[in-house]
Amino acid sequence: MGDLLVETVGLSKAFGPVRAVDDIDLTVHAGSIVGLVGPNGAGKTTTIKMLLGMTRPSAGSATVLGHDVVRESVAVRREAAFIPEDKLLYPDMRVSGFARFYGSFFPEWDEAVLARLLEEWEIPVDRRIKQLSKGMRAKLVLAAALSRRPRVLLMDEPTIDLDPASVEELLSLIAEWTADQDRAVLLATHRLEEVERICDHVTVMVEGRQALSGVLDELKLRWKSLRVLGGPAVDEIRGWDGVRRVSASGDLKTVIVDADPARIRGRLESGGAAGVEVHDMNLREIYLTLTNYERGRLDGAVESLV
Amino acid sequence: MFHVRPESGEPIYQQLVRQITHAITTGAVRPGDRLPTVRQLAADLVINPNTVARAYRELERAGLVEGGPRRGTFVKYSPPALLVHERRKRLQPYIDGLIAEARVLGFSADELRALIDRTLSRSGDTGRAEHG
Repeated sequence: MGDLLVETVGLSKAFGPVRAVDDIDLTVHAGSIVGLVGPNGAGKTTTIKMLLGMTRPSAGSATVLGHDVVRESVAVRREAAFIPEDKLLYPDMRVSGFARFYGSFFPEWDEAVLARLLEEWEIPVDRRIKQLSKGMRAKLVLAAALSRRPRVLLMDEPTIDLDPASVEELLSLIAEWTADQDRAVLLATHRLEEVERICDHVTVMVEGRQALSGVLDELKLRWKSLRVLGGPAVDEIRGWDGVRRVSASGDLKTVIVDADPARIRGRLESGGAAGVEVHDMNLREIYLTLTNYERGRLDGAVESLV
Repeated sequence: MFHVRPESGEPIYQQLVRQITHAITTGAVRPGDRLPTVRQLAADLVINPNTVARAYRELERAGLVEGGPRRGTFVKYSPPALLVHERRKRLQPYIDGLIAEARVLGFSADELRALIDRTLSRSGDTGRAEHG
């Protein structure tokens, strides 16, 4: 694994009685694209803002590129690049003028990198920004950010209101940029299908808390939906280690596991279950299991849940 | 050449391993052929570079490719043309068992052939092991 570029320990933010971010332990290693997903209001944006020193944590700590985000926020903002949801651009500026203007803020800014990216990505330098398509504007913002040679790229909903072809292109550019292995991306989004494509790690936030974290491909090997006929009672299965959820319809049970599926299968079969079917789960299914579970837990309505 | 379905529950690295293995064992790519670089494949398929690198590591462990991130990744394995005899030998007991079972159940040779043909055509694929 590459160097640890971003780390949070027990990172929390309370707004009055509301725990917007609650005890988040996040790690981002070089070479990685980490997806931070969760429903609206789950605390993704607040987490990113704390990493950038734009909001002060109420508890816990975080470092970006070794800099403490509270005490050394200036260094963080200089060395990490941030692409916000509402990209601030200057509509009447030409692309070339914007590039010079933008670069003037950052000592590490590299004009040659920007010139190369503008050419490779076919961004017309003479055009005014307001004449660019949304996809083109998103590429321009990314090119400007990357021309600062950051080692960490923080993105908050970067593909919102882009058409599918532009999304595809932007994600491809991000994947390619990360291949150099000395840099990393933290991508906050509620678009699971994007995370499922380009992220190797995922953290799911629900109601401010970290509901799940891990290597996405590993999670897919562990999270399975088992359909089973007969066997042990629902209440018994719920008590097993690694079982996340059990529901029953007549004699047919559905057991969602976050464990070695073969182990749970064996246990079901030795308990008399017949015809155990093991089904893969994609990120959406895992996510929905978690968000339903978390909501149920918060409402105190855990009737059919573990 | 390859494509993945990220929204599938099957890990992306496994999808890649499966497809590249298939391409190698069917001879679609040949020993000495260079696979795309990690960066290239990640950009083309719009997937994570670490995921591609993991697939390449698995293929290397399986003896199907060799190389590394710097030199590039090359196909190593060739279809075992010389081992046809060996492969037949391993399959034969299953065929014997199938025929014996079919006789017990009263199938004629023609019925058995028809049944195998129908099963093969329904599965639409004759060369690959089932996955997942």
